[in-house]
Amino acid sequence: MNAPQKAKDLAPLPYRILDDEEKVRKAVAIIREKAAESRMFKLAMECCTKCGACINACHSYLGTEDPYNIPTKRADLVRSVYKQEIMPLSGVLGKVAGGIGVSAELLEKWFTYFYQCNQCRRCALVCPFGIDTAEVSIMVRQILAELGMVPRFTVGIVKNMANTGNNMGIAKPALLDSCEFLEEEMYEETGIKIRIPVDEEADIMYVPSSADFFVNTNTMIGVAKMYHAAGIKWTIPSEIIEAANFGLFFDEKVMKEHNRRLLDCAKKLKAKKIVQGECGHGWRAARMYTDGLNGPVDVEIRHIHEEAAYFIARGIIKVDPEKNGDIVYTYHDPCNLARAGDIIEEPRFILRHVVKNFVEMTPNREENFCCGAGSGLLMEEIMETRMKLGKVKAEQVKKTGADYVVAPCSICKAQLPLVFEYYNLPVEMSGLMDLVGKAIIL
Amino acid sequence: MKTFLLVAFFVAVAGIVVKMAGLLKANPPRDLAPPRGDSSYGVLYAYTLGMAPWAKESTRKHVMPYLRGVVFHLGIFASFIILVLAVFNIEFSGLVRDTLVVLSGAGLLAGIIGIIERLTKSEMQKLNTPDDYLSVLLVTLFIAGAFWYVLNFQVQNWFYFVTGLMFLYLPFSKITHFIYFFFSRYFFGFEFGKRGVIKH
Repeated sequence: MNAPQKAKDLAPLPYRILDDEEKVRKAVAIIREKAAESRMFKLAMECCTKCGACINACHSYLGTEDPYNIPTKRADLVRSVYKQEIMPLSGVLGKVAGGIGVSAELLEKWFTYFYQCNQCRRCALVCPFGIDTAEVSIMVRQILAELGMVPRFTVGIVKNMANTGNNMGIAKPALLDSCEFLEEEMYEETGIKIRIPVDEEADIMYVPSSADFFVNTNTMIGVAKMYHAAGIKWTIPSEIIEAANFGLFFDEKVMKEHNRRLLDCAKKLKAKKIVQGECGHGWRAARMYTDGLNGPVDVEIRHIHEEAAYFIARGIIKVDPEKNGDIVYTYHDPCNLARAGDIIEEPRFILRHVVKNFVEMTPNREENFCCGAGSGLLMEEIMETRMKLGKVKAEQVKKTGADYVVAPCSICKAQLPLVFEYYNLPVEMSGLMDLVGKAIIL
Repeated sequence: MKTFLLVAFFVAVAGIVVKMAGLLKANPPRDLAPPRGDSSYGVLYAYTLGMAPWAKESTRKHVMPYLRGVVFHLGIFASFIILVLAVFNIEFSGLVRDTLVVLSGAGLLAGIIGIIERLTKSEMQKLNTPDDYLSVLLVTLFIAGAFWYVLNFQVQNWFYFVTGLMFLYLPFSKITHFIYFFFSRYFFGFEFGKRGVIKH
């Protein structure tokens, strides 16, 4: 099983590489601290009765068949340390409870397996106790960061974010070029001058995924057409063209810094509303954590699907489902929208208006399976693992018989085409705003 | 034997108090997010409909293990009633006794099946630690003691002995989940209600 490669240089993260002895010492200290301070951590460590309900609920285990990817078994990697360090008479009772001491080998296991958890929260829904293993996973990745164990890919994202305000490292001139190119594309298609305004004062500050400028350009086009048709002044902040916020997965400080940039840009551009683009976890990080980490927030934070559903419902924009053809569409619920962000019915409302044939996947909504790359597992070096993590999703899609999968999340958009190719599924896919853009009547 | 039971009982109570004090002293989950849904409804759901067999995929797909778990826990409740009746020398017979025989007997059967499942299913073997086996075994012995006692009041000492063993081990084992359960379900309901995942 592949493990993500560790970064050799952690800058700009405020951590350093530790030797094995330091890692072990620090890991024990952090576990002891969390056991004393965090009620959530204590509950997750103490509650589980090993009933096995999470075994078949986890796509990571179903795909890899590695027992360490059973949510409770993965949590046991840290639970065993907790039992050893916290239990009274740990020499005897700790061992009975599965306790083992921290070692460099165990920390390597943490690094491997907590980076095979997509933090999708599906296990929390089936757990009789509601133990949220995603929270355990986030917490352990935070501990690993403090031990200097962060995937090289993730450090690269943080560096790009610090330097350019987006994950792909797009500089402002390249952004402006890309916007101009997309405007020309739209003009050629429609004969109408539709703008993608950058750094202009406007009521709405739209935060796309950086991938929408180069890979998922139809998502960007859909958004631009929608605001044009609605006659609303909007803008993109060049200093943060990134809805994704990788801090959510492993480091609260990174998440907070990202959110601070969002708020600063909104203030600078005099925006009354921040609209998050198609990114699952980015939505959650912005909507659910900005207030708490950086607040109080005096701008409204909304999702682009809430905007689109509102415009369609009130007839502010007109759409023609014929434009998206006769093919059968299905919808993949990104985990962070459906299990942590309450964007569940809006996309379905939009889909029913912009396509003719829509079938649900089973299971769906909050019970949907992850694409297999959630929580930032987009590393090339774990491609084999990623494909295994996507196996259940491929099976789900196959059962629908659909020709086209709608997945409104940049991580899903990066993962699913590879999964479909790997499992020989002849389906197309895109975001949802792509289809709004095609169906819109200008 | 009653003295042993009482001592064990106080060890269990003291252990639980210490554990609860530690839990309550720790900080609750930080409430960083503004609500997208109704956290109160989430909590209500978590304690009621959220535990119904149709509410979760795991119980919909695995009805028999779910029912086994329900029967096992009913057996435990019945066994505690039997324990109270025994300790306070309260006489019981007729329908009460028949009901307790059925509940503890069924609970005992469910406990034995549970142990067999843990020992034989390969996926369960991968998950279980010695504590998992020992906890289920001691609780099953407790139910067995209660069941035997309602059938034959002469085996009171044996019932007290196995109950005392369970009480002594309880604070150090996963049996404490019966207390943590209420906290954990509360946080689950609160967070998922607040995030708008659990809805009216």
